[in-house]
Parts: sequence; structure tokens; C-alpha cells
Amino acid sequence: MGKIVLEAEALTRHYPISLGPFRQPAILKALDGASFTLRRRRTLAVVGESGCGKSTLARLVTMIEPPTSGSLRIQGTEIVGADRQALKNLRPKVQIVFQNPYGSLNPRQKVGAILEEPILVNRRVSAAERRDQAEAMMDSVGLRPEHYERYPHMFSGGQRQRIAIARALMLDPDILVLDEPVSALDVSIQAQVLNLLADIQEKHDLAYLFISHDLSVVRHIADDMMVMYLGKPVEQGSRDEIFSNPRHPYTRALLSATPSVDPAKRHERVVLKGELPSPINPPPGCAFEPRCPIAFDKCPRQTPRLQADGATMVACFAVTDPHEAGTRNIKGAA
Amino acid sequence: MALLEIENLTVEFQTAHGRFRAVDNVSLGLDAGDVLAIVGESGSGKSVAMLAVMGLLPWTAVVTAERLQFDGRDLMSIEAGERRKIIGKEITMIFQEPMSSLNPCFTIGFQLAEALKVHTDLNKAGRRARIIELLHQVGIPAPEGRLTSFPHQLSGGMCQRVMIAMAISCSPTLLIADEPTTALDVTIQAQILDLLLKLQQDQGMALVLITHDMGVVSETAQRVSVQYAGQKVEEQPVDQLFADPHHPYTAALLAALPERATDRHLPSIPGVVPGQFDRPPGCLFSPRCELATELCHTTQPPRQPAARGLALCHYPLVDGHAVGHPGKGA
Repeated sequence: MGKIVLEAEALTRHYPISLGPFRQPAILKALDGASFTLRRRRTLAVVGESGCGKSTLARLVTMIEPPTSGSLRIQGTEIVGADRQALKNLRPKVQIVFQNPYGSLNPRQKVGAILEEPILVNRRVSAAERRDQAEAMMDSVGLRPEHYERYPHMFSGGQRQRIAIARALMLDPDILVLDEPVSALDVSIQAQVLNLLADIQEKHDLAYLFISHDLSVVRHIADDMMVMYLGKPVEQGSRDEIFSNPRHPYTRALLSATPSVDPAKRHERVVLKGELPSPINPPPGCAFEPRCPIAFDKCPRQTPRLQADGATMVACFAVTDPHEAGTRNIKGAA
Repeated sequence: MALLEIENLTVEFQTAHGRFRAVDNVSLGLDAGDVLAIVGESGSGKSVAMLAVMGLLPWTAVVTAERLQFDGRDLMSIEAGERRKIIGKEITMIFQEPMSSLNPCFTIGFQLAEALKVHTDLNKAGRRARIIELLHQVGIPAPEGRLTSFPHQLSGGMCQRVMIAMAISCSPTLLIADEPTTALDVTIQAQILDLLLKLQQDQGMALVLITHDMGVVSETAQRVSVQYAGQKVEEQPVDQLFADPHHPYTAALLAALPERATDRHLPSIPGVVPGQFDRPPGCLFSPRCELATELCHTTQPPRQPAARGLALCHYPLVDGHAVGHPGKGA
């Protein structure tokens, strides 16, 4: 187990939403009580549907936004309530790679300038040295030296994602937040980028926060997993445990909805009804209850907390209080 | 008789730097009730070939084909008015990006009614009832209230379902779905795929699924056609394709799936798809193929028999061994 580089406890982010000039603003609970740790050389994957708070989590961890409440410690330093100088010192430690490499690179900057900008802003280094560092980084992510003078539009999607990864590594971070880094890429290119990410993690001792909705990619790259639903983690644990023995009904639905290429791995699909409810006005009790195939009378009345169940943490009454769920056979219902 | 017959379809685009061949001698046949998946990387000509069938390519495109027939009618020589009677009614298409395919200026009720107005003789009330039924079918809750919504008021998944409702509104005999689920979450994706398959079974509709998601292919399609750089490199029934791919590209593509990986390192395909100016003289896959020989680099490969998946390859793979290959062969 690597050293802990980030600890989050009950991390919460609420946004006030204006409903009109004479009405009380509503509260959108984008992220509600996420706790996790990131370790060196380990990958924590965050999965869930769009709107479940994955990207809000990324914004908090990268310190783009402060959390509403909870605690976030990076390298032992608490960032909630930290002053500007402390935040400034911590920001280079956490870097992010965005989903769409077509949108995240400035089309009017050359690759060299893109890679040097983080150093230009954060460090006092001579131009020649900056160039040396940029070229060394290009080499380590598999870009050729002649690419230094080129513009992003001259590259394919996979190459652009390499540039974005190189840019994120320029300040020698400890944590890399990967926000769906391969979902915009073709299968053959996706494999190249995933391999590159695995190599870089080894080489730079990085902790990854990997945000994705593609479970086959998560299964490949993650060590630990956090499944989120409507801003709340519903299941958390090691990848192997969650894939081999999913406990929460939402996790099971997600796993069964992911199409598999292997006919032997195919199983009966749990087709969920409806869509994610609005986070402004979430259903009372368990947020998953309206779509849940095994909900019982307690579910709409109380909100389940994340509790240990075997090797994982689950927020579901049917799992943690099976006797209260009555005679309903949970395994059979899934 | 086959529903859709395509023989040696070629599409070239007139660009400032000469002609670019996006689709290169592609042949396909489709019967009623078939589910055919076309897979390939971006730029492999999957969408362009189907847009040619729909007649939706811009004027810069030059379409040639030995045969392009739908239900006995020749789509190459058809008049524009006749084509409009088929397109949107018998052949419909679900486009890739729902947000940009719907007109932002009109309500979805209006846009859905348009197709019905042109192709059916339903009156206004009948159209409204049909639209509500369709929206219900694609799983949009409270459809009555949604008719007056504009596309920007709906989520991506909702817009995609509106597109699907539009495509199935006139009970088409051929539905072309171009990446119908790429913008959607897995749970919604499962709902949409189930819906498409249900329509295909209930109405005997033929379905062409353009995708790059191998998982979706294996769970929905009956036959798979693999395209690379505009060429069809292999076509097989779905189970056989996943069990025994005959073209090295298909094999490499399947090996690159994270799901099939045994190691932390995925076997990736080096390089990228050749562009307009670096098309090799021989096999188009040869610069990236680990089995390529001198012959592959210089001579265009032959089409193998159906037993070898119609693979476009000098040394097709059988059970993972390249037949007739001088080095690593069987």
C-alpha cells in the first residue's frame, strides 16, 4: 500500500439554484458526504451516471471550488479554510486531465507553449530549461521532438490526450484526476492511452482519481472503486470485491447494464426504470428507492448511511438490515 | 429478395487537395429483420456509407456503386421526389449527436409531427395521439407535457430518445442507427438497445447499428461488418467473429478491449488510421499490422471466401494462426 496523499471526509458541495426573483433559492446537492483516501500508485475509480456528482468531486479535489462542508487534506494539509498562499502551494500537487482533448487544448498555442505554461506560471525557470523539461516530458509520453512546434489541430485524438497528460505532469504532481480520459477515443487508441497511464503511474508514483462511466475500463485500471448515485456514494470498496460481489442494487444494475463481449459473462439484465431524479428535489429517504427493484417500506422513509458489509461499504437497508427487508430474496430479485 | 443490396459502393470527396476516398468498394446485403453492426474507428467510413444510402451526402461527394438497391428500387438513379417518399418513412436514421440533430427553434412535438404529416394521412389529433404513444414507447415520462418542450430543455438522453421516436414514427422497414447510445449512460443505453431490438422483433424491421462499442455489438447484432479506412475488411456472424476473427485488424481490435485483457498492459495497435495523403499502396492495415510482409506493403490483398470471414487479407487468421504466412504462419 502506498502512502496516503489525500484524505477526504464527508466532502459536500451544495449549489444554491435561483428559482426566480421572489422565491427562496433551492439547494442542489451536487455532492453529499463522500469520504475516501488516495494513495500513491493506487487508482480510485469513481463511477456513476451523468449527474451523480463525479465531476463536482473532481472540481473539489483539484481545488477549483471549495467544498461547502467536510474536510479535504492533501499531503496532510487541510484545504478547507486554508489561505490563498497555502492553496497556491498545494495546487501544483493535483492536476487534471479532461475528457475531451479537442476542447481542453488551446488551439492557438503550440504544443511547446502548452507544456511550458504551467512552469512559466508557477516556477522561476529560464526559457532554455523550460524547453528542456517540456522536451523530456514529450519523450516520456511518446511524443516526438518535432511535435514541439506543432498546433493541437495537427494531432489525432489519442495524441492530443497524450499532450493533455504531459501538461498535467509538467509540475510533477502527486495526484492526477482523470475525468473520463479515454471515453472520447477509439478502442485501439484507448488501449494506447490506458497503457501510457499505467506506465506513468509507476514511474511518477502517482495517485489516480479515475472518473469514468465505462465499467470495462474501470475494471482494467482501478484498484478501488466508489459507486455514486445522486451525489452520494452508495458502495465503496476494492475493485475485485465490487465486481465479483456487488451488494448495492444500483451497482448490480450498472454492472448488468454494461454490455459484455464475452457471451459467458453475459447475465440477465436488470433494466432500471426511469431516469436519475432531479438533485434539486431528491426523493425522500433513499434516493435510489423509486428505481430500486428490491425497495421495501423503510426505504422511502429513512436515508441509508454508508456501512461496512463484509469487505465493502454499502448504503442500502436491504443489504445492511436483511431481516428488516423481510422475506424478500435479494439475490433472486437481482 | 434482399431488402438492401449494396455492391461495390465507393464514396469520394472532392477536397482542395484532390479526391479523398472515404468509402472504398463496400458491399453489404441485408434482409428484413436482420441486425447488422458496422464497427470501425472514427474515419473508417461507417457513417458515410450509410449516409450515401440515405442520399444525405453533400454535393462534394461522388457516389459510385455497381448496385445500390432498397426493396427492389434503385437508389442511384431514383428521382429526388421518389427518394423523399422512401427516406424518413421506409428508411430512417438515428443520428449521432442528438443535441445538434434536433432543430433548436422548434418544439419536439412539432418536429415529431413533421414526419407524420409528410408520410402518413393522420389528422392533427391522430398525429398528436401517435406522438404521445411514440414518446411513451421510448420511455419518456409524462409525454403530454413534453410536446411543447424545446430540445435545450431536455437532457442528452431525452433528446436521443426523441430522435429514436422520430425514426420509428412511420414504422420503417430499415432503421440505420449511427452510434445511438454513445451519448448515454449505461443504464439508459440498456433501455434503448432493448427498445430497438423489440421493434426489430415485433415489426420485422432491419437494423443497421453503426458503433465502435464492441460490447454493444456482441449483445445486439447478428452479423458484424468490420471497416477499416473505408474498406470492409471482414464480415462474420457475431459469435464467430468474437470467437475466431480472421482479419488481423479485427483480432487486434478485440485484443485491445480492456475486458479481454489479462495483463495490466493492453495489447494496443501502434500508429493511427492512414489519412488522405499516407495511404499505403498495398494493404491499408499493413503499416500497423504485426504480421505484415513485403507482399502486404506492395500488393492489395485479395478478398477471402466466406468461410474465412470475407477477410481482406493476404494471410487470414484461422484459430489465431496466419494461413500461408512465411514467418509466423501455421
